[in-house]
Amino acid sequence: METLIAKLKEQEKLYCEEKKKIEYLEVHYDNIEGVLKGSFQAATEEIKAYTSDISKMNLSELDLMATLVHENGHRENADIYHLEMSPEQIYNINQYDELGQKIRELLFRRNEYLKSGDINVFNNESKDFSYYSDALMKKEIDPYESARDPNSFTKEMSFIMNEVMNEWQQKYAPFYDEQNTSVAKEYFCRTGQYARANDENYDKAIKQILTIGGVDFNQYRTRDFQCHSAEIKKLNEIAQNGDKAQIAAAREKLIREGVTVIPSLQATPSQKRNGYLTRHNPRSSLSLEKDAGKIVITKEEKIAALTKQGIFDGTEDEKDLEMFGCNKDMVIHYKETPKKKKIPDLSDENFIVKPSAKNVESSSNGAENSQKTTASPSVAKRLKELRGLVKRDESLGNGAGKIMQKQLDGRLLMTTMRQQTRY
Amino acid sequence: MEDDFIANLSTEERLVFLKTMLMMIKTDARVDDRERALAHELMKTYNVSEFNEIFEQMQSKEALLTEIKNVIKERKKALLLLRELLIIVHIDDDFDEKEMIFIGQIAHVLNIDEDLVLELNQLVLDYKLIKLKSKKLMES
Repeated sequence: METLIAKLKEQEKLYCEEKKKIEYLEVHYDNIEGVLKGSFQAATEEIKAYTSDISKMNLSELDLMATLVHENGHRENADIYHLEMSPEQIYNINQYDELGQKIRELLFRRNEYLKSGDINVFNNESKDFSYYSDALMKKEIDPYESARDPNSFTKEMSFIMNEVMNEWQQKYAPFYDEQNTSVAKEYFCRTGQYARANDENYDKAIKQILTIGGVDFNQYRTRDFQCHSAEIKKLNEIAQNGDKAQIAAAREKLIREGVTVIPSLQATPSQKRNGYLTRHNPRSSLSLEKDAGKIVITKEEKIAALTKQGIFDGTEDEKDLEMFGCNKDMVIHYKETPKKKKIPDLSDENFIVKPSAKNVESSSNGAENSQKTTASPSVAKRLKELRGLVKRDESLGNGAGKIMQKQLDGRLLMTTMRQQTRY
Repeated sequence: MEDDFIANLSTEERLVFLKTMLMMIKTDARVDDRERALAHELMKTYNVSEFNEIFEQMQSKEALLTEIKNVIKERKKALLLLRELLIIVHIDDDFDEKEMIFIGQIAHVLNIDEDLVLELNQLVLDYKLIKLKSKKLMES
């Protein structure tokens, strides 16, 4: 009996911890004319998602949620930019951060597919995941099978890791050069002489970014990102081999050029022991934009940015300008439309269904019912007995379960509530 | 059977189910308005009208345990009773030690092993978490 009580208490404790995680993040949506889908600002801990694209089409709920998953992933990884590393390593880490969020987006859509069986969940506007739906149609991968079969699981996870990396490098890497550079510059300005190459921290950061839904995707990775920015390579050289005066001069120059250092605190002694120089100071909720207004990015600014990226060389004609949206100013309109959203938790180790003893046992019930893993084969008999007693996503029967369901739906015990208000 | 199990219980079994749940509600020795309202909901759900008679004049725990042992003979119904009790204790978020002990005693007379009690308890908790998550999503 004592063992049972202790185990029930442990279950209760874990339940309470899990319940705490079911929280809101305040997120605000803006209407925007432009190509941005969302953003995460480390300095203000703010996630933004945009409800419409350049054609003013409203994005689907799925696309919005995928954007939130992506931006929230950046939020969860914000602490890695406080580990001791070199500017060049930070440049690459920013690429991994983007790559990791693309993987999250795909995994979120994959879970939606597992629930609905609708292959269209992979067809976002940018066609970012068509390689996955193509492979699905050709039966090269099968996420349902991956929930049961370890070989299929490994094959699919490896496919996801390397195909997302291929796609990202070909499609997005050139556009992120400027962002990678500015992140590395900010890091150098913040840490100065401490911005030293640290392979251990570099590997640790990559592992953190690429551990998603309880799967270490890093184990399937076959190559590394490279830093092609001459500016960052030069900064790297100063950080590694320069003396204090040279480092201070480089920092001052960057700050004069407009680099803003993200406010952060000194790492605590225990964080220092774990490789952190400074520490991220996360807030419990995200702030809402108060003022409605607009931001204008002029066509000249856009041309300058593309020239800096090496995409324009000054020989462009009207057609080229139009193709890159540089024939007119871009206007971003803000609108106060706050909403509350629960962002799917991809850091939950059960987010990705994995093959396990229980999954094999209950495979006939579909992947959705197989999320909790129970390793011991001895549970098979008990699970058989339990089957039908609790259908997690439906009901607990027409007795007390019906009462619990009403209570959880907020429809229960009105009499109680009325009685309680008297006190 | 599981969803509409009440219809498949005999009158005698239904009363035992109900009395056991009411005993569970009274386990912590104080009955507040909320618990009284929950008891009323159960009486309605189980279609039993003699509320005061059953709720106010409960037999002793020992007598009830003996009655459970004598009346609940089918394995499936034993599991359903245990499930009902676990749902009752989780309707609020205060599963205390006295209730845990009572669950253990019931499981013992129903010949349900501890691992199965824990599995069933976990499934009820998982169900509750999924409903809470779903509710949060729908509120957004």
